[in-house]
Amino acid sequence: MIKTSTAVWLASGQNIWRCWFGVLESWQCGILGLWEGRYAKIFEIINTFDWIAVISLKFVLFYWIIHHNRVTYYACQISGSTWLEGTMDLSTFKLLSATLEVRYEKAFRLWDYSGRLWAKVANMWPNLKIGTAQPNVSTFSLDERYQLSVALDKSHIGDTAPISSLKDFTEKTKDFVKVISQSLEIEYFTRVGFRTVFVKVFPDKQQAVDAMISTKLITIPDGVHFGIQGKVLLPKYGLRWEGESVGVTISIEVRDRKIDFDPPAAVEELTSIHHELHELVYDIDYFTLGIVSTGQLDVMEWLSQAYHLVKRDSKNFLGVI
Amino acid sequence: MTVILFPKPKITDASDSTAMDSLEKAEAPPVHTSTADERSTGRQVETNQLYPVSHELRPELARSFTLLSEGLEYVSQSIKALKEGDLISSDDFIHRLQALLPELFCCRSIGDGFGAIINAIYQSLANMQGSALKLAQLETIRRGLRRISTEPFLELSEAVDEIIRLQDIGLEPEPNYFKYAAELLDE
Repeated sequence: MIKTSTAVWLASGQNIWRCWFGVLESWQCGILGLWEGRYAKIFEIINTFDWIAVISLKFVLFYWIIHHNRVTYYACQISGSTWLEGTMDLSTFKLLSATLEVRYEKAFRLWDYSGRLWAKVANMWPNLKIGTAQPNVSTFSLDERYQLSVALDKSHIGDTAPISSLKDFTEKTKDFVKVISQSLEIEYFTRVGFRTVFVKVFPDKQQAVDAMISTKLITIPDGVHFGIQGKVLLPKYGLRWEGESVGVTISIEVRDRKIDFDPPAAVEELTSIHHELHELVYDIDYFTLGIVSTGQLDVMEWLSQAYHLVKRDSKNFLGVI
Repeated sequence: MTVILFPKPKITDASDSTAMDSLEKAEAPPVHTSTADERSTGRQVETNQLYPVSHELRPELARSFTLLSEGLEYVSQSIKALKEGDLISSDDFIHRLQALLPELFCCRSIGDGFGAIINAIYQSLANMQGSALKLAQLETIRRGLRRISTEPFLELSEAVDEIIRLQDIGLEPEPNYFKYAAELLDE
């Protein structure tokens, strides 16, 4: 339940938000029962109201907020309170990894030109470290952050510590794909996929589960089932959303992970680490369903548009608490 | 200096599924994208579907799709008219195409190949000095427009192949004064 005092404080603290809540009080509170509502109801109002704000108030400012899907982020930041911390907006998640994979018909040229290909990559990025080198696949790492692999029928580059703009990643990806397509003489890709994994960490498992259930993506029945008066522990939801030429695989799940690190007994300087993480993982894979010729693909542009779509439309799947 | 290498921290899922050790993990490793591609259509993806938010993020790309589509329609109409023996209509459609080319050239930030082909077609039409195009010439122009319509980011070296095709069919894809410049350089 949201407290009346919280909203009153916001209304008196910031000019812009006073406008928001002024209008909100005048014509929406009565209809939607704001003061008796829950967080979800408040959030629905804000989403609706934000669009109205574009029309009636400061166009440029609010357009920016909508454009970057930052409504809840702004609300949290400006209010300085925790009243919206339960939101499932993507901006409250941390981007854990970003990967681009290209697939192609078997490029047997790899057997002849693998060394030359990686020499070109090493010329661009001298910090390249070899992982595995086998005839059909070779993997490298870069700056302890990027993972690169070239195989007979697919290649990928992954960023394990991406910045939210993906600037570094897209630039590196562009160069990497260019080297691959030139060295292996690839004329077209059979599939281009861009996968991002977002994570939100919760202090305990139950909060993570509650957050997942509140998206209303899955139905949790009450009562005894399978002869068990149980509770949900690790919910998982996934779907594939496809058009004629592009598709998306979405997966949302609660994940528990244990990190165990025991240094050798002789090393006194380090202590053991045993840590348990309770995470809500949002994993989205955006990919093409048809053939993409090399002249058709501008990697930076494609990634930028795909990432924009991921950020823009994820709210429709994540929902709100 | 002795370097001590530690083992990587062991990170495990805290789930306890039945026979979890004997079953293959359903999810792919985090560095890979989804592995299931059995639904691939085998058709070439439409370029405008590959960049669905160009109107917002790269307006010149979106504009070029519209103009190229319009231009291709004019060339097709021109070819149709020529085949029907209507030379005036055929020429009229090419004039309409010609009017689109300066704006298409303004979209050349898409790529060097794109700009080179648009420029070559523009110069080819200008150098005809009002004469009507032959069927083979129209078809070659349509081929060039189709190429940049499906592959707007093609490399300059590939664009040169298309420009040579224009030359081979009797068009002059370079400005007239290039000839005089070349003669001067020869001297």
